Amino acid sequence: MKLDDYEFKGVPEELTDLKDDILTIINYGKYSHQVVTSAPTWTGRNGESVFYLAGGVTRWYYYVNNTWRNMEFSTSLVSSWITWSGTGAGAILDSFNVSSVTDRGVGDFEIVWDTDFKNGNYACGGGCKIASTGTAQGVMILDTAGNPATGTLRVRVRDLQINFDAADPTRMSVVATGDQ
Amino acid sequence: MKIDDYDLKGIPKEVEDFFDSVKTIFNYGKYSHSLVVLAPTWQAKDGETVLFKSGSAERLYFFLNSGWTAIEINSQLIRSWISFSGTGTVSILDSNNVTSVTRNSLGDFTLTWDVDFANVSYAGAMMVKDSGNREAVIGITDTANNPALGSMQVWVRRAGAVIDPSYASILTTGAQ
Repeated sequence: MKLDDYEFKGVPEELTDLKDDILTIINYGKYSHQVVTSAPTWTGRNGESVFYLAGGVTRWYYYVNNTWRNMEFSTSLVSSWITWSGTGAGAILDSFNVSSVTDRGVGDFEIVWDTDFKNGNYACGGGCKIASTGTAQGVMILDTAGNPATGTLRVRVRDLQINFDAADPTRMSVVATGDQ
Repeated sequence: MKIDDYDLKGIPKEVEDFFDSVKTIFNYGKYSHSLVVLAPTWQAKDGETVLFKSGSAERLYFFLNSGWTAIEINSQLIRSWISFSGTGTVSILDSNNVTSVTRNSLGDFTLTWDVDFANVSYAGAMMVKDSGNREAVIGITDTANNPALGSMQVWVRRAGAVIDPSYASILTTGAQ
């Protein structure tokens, strides 16, 4: 909802100035949330919200059903994801926060993140297409030194049903989240 | 905090109408964020937020610590997740944005999303419990038009066998 620009007449100038400030805040989206450095503990009104910023941790607190709840930006959101094909020349089908994926051999791929993680302890999971009824491919984190790294993740694809052979599925996905 | 219903007297009707509108906005949550098509670059006050919409990209920008940061709404939210048991009668243990899981046959399940995806290139991460101390995997069935906007068919396998998992979990993210 926006405010009409009423023309005040016969009122003190301060009141007109106050009206102009309120109109600017509301009509141009200039409302600023309160920013706190410790978690809110007061009894809010349902719908009240504040930002929290302390020690590099950013949260959005909102008061609903008589309780403060929060979403932590660095840990409650997906940091990066990718869906790609391993057949032919390979291609990124869709992604977020991924700069590239490199084919390092059959069933061996290196994903390069756009924005690095703060450490190598981020969480990741994946999956791929299972090619036929006689196969059972899965995406795994490659057991090599320094993997996962802050800027890259190397994965391999193996077939549990055919001698753990390496495979290049037509479609693979990885989702990762952690501090960035 | 809400605005009390002050009985303003002796003021022009325009002033009274203006403050009635202000009261409605604050007391009934009618404040609208600024909606921009370019990333904000101006110097704001800490706590200021704007919505960004350009093409399929939707972001919530917030100004904190003297800089703008954004949440990419179509890329940073878990859109659907499910944990289910496929043994006996298939059952959803817990889920979000999943209307059903159907057992098509042994080790063959179809998940139906509540809200569809905007394209079929969404990402899925999935795991199953091992079976009989033998490695097991869950993967997307390699059949035409799978995954679809509104569903995903998956297979569960272990070395040498097709199985119904006692526990399987899938989470997805992508544009909706």
